[in-house]
Amino acid sequence: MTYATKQLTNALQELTRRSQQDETQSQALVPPVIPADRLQFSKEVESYLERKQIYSAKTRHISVGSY
Amino acid sequence: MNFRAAPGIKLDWIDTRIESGFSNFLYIDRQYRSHPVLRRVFSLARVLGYRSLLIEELREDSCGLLLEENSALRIRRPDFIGSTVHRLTFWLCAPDQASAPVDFIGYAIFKSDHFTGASQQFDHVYESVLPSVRLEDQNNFIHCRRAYTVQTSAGVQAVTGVLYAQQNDLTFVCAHVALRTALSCLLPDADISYARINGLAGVDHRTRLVGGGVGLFPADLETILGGLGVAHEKIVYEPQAGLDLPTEFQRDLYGFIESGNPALVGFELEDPNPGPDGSPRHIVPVIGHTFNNDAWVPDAQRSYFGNQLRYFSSESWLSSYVLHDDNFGPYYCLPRHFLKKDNFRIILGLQRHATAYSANEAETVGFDFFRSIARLTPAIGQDWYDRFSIFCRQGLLVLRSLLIERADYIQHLRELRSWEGTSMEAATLGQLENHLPERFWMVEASAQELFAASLANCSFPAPRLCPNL
Repeated sequence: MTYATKQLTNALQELTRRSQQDETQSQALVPPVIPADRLQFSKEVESYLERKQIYSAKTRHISVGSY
Repeated sequence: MNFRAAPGIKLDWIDTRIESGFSNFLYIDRQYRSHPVLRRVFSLARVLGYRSLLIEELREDSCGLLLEENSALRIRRPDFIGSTVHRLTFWLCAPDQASAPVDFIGYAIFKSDHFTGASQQFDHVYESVLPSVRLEDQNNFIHCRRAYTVQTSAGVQAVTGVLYAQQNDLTFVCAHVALRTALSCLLPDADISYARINGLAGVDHRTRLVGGGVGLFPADLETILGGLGVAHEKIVYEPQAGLDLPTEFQRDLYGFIESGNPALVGFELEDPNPGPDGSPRHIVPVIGHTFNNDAWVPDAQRSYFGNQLRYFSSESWLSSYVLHDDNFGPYYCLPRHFLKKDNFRIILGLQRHATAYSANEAETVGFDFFRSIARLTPAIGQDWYDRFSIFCRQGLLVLRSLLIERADYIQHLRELRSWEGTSMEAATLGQLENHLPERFWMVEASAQELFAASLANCSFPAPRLCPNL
């Protein structure tokens, strides 16, 4: 078993233990609302999108070879 | 009038059952000069269970498209004297039996162009539509199939498939036929003529020629797509021009076709003695893909080979791309990663609608949102949400981006039922209906076991948690 698999198994077992402790309550909860402004892109994603944009701009007028 | 609708002169309708002694090879060797693509077409017809073959001749005086094609050839090659065209239709019934619609399999148009002097005649499969031998039930996903009607001497028949075409290397080359296939998947008429393609590219066969090693430039392909109002995205790798790829091109290719659109993939051939413009190039239309539910790669890549991604892209389960290659025939499989970056040059992903983000970009943003949701609300005491959160935080989500229509998505949600059999609240559906744009990227989140068990319906059973971009 890899480290990641062990971590997942432990987390799922912990969830199962908690769920069994309070079964009636656990299935009745409604997901909370998360305001949209708290879901902003991370810097990592912003940088990825920027790199893609620069690449797209570079490819716009390139036409090499024939098919 | 195209080759499907033109009235044909019936030449023969023959029994092709193996028990009748019929051999595809022998027949093609004797009648069609051992044409290799036709062997592939007949082989597919055999797998599809064909029992008879109707052969009809098409002539210029009753087929406008044939007249148009031959007129272009007369300009391009003054020694062109005419052509022989056979429409070959494949049937499940015995010859001359009154046929039910289910008896029809598909067709191929075989065109032989004749020239005076020392020139040889040139044979090619002008077009063919056959159903794919394998579909979703065998993990083959060819989303962009179209329905075609064929007017035969036995009545009007129908076939659903992706149109295949082969170049004649005189008035249309590999780029034309690849483009024709791809455009057939999207255009209202499910086809386009080479005269129209050449008209848009400025190829008049006098001042600008194609064939004999001269093809269309990527700029021509974009001009043609623009002229037809077909949106597209471009991925280019041109090391000589100093242009490298920002991401792995196969993931971009998957992103294009997973939403049901075709893509053109161009590559450079291996050539020990390349000319000043580099090695020759070829382009093919990619029309679908196969999946393997039991792929070892996603886990192995992560655990053994150092893949740092913090989620699994559904592309990891892809085995092969499905494509037509005009040199070989329809419905071939290209194993994922067979085409190396060194040879790869261009992808043109055709789109039904232009989008601000590509599938990969949507997936990246979607994952960022999933991470935020799981970080802000690690658990709520609801089993499926809490599992989602665990998988997300551990980097084990499987994500798939699909460009979908609002109406289809709302309908999907309306039909969904929870484990307890309850449907989604009308107020929530109303809110989504009011706020979602007409079409949008849906990033589907799943766990490996859910995804592998049900490729068509694999999201965590809590769609309200999925950010729609």
